[in-house]
Amino acid sequence: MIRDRIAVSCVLLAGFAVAQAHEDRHEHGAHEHGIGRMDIAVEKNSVDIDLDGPAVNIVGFEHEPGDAKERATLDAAVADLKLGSPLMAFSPAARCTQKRVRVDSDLLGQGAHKGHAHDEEEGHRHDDEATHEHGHEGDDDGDEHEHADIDVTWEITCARPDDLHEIDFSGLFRRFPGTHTLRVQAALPNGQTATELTPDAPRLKW
Amino acid sequence: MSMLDLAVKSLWNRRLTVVFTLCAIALSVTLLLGVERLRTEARNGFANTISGVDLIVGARGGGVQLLLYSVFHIGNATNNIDWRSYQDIAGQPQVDWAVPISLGDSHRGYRVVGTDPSFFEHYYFAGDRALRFTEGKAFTTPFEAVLGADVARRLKYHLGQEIVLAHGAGEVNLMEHTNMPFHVVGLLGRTGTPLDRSILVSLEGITAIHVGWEAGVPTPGLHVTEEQAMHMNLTPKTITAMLVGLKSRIATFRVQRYINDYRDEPLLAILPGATLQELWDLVGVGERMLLAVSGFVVVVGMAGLLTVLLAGLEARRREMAVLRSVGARPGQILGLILGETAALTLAGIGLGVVLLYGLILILRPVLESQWGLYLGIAPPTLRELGLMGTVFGVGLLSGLLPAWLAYHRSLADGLTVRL
Repeated sequence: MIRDRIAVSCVLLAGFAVAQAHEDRHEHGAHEHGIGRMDIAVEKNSVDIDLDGPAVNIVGFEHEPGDAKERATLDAAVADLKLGSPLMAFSPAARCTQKRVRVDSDLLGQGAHKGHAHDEEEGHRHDDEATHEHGHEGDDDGDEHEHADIDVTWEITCARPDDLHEIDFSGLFRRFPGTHTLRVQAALPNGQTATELTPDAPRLKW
Repeated sequence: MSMLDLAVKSLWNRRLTVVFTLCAIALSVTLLLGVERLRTEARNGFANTISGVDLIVGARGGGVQLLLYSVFHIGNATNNIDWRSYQDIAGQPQVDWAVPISLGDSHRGYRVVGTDPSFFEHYYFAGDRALRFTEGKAFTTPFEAVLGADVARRLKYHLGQEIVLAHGAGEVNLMEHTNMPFHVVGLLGRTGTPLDRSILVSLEGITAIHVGWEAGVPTPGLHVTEEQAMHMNLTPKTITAMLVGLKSRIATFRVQRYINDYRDEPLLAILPGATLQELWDLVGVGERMLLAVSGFVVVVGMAGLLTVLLAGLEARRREMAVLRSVGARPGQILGLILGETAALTLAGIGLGVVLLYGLILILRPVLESQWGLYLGIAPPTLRELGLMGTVFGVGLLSGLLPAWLAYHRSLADGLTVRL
């Protein structure tokens, strides 16, 4: 039932996305070089972290890799993003491990990317229409304007979530020096908050 | 006679100057602590206004603006959201509950909030405190109203009272919906939030009183009674905002993105806690400037103290010489001046605190009714004590110069007394 609705929405969205691409300013507003938007949600033993920002923050360019060097840079960046652990450190006592990761970007090749994101989505999250729309719109935006974003979602589980009081992103700032500010909004066990993380203040504490 | 007695007597001799210096210090301390107190109380007031709400949804615009008009009743919405969007979002699988909010009417300067009875169940404030009725119950039919604590108290309303809502939200004006009065069925307990100054009615009631008002004013010749309205379809076409609770916090950002990329109309979803933090970052600059200005006022007060001490020193050369001649050691002279400064500063701080609490007592009702700002008569916070400590430190520091001068001169003057 829900699956059907999703399927219908997807078809509709694919149509709408083209028609409405010019209307939706959401993605453009967020495109500021050097600044990444990060959403962090913590509930029970799950931690979801979503990083969304201009590709230039991560790889230094915003077009599909043109030569072997750019290709290598991109591959290395994606590999590190997928690895996750060198980029962020959780309170050790909480014993957190990465469960799943998804990297979305126009840089990762148009056709392959669409199929890829779609499949993985269907595999584990049936209720999420938002990301579909998001992905497709990203594509349209990428075609029309010479901006590209990289969107990473990490899903993490912690064995002892009560001991989780801090996430340190100094690894991320070190690995991707093109990122100088993370605008974070967080839904944490003790409430919601918003903050900016920088290489000098890379920790989110609660 | 001890040095302390001497110091007190010496001060008494110069009581007029001393009193004015004391006043300057006291006023500067009152200002400093007052600014700090207002700042923290305002923050607490805001932070305690709403809890348990994961997202607030409104028409696309500024997040802070949405938070301000939907929760704090400051400013107005630029656009409404479609009822169908509300239903769609409320029906999303991750959404646990969604309470619609419709603003735009008022009664004698108090805002009217159109909502649904589930509001009373989902609205929490100050952490985990639920709404409580002191009298009566929630509204169930379109023409029933629930009053916030201040509304009931100020307007001396009681259960069964008939009230007429006005179109718009001003103190004077206004086109009144006289054809359809509301009956008060419930009085809410005090919450310390803008809800205390609100009147809650059902969305259907809001729709009903606007039947025939499509142009923003009553259509001439069209007079709809409550009876007739009850038989109409009172489902609202639009609402101002909605409060959303989710089944799991982890879905917060997914639902937020879904709403922000909403395809039928431009919507905005905010995390109230995160947006409040953004608001603090915005006003933080102003707050720091206010605090800096009051800090400077304290410095000016201290400069006054220093002037008085230095000027006094000239006049007190004889006093010092006499003290030295009767056997006071230079150290004791130093102690005398320092002790005098310490006593003056301390008295100034004490007087300042007394003044602050006095002012709070006097201004409290005005701040409460006009600004919705609740000032508690709480003991000084650690930060305030820290500020007082700093003032005391600065006072002592400024006393060092005259003390040192007196110490040195008393040596020289002791040898070359010219009577």
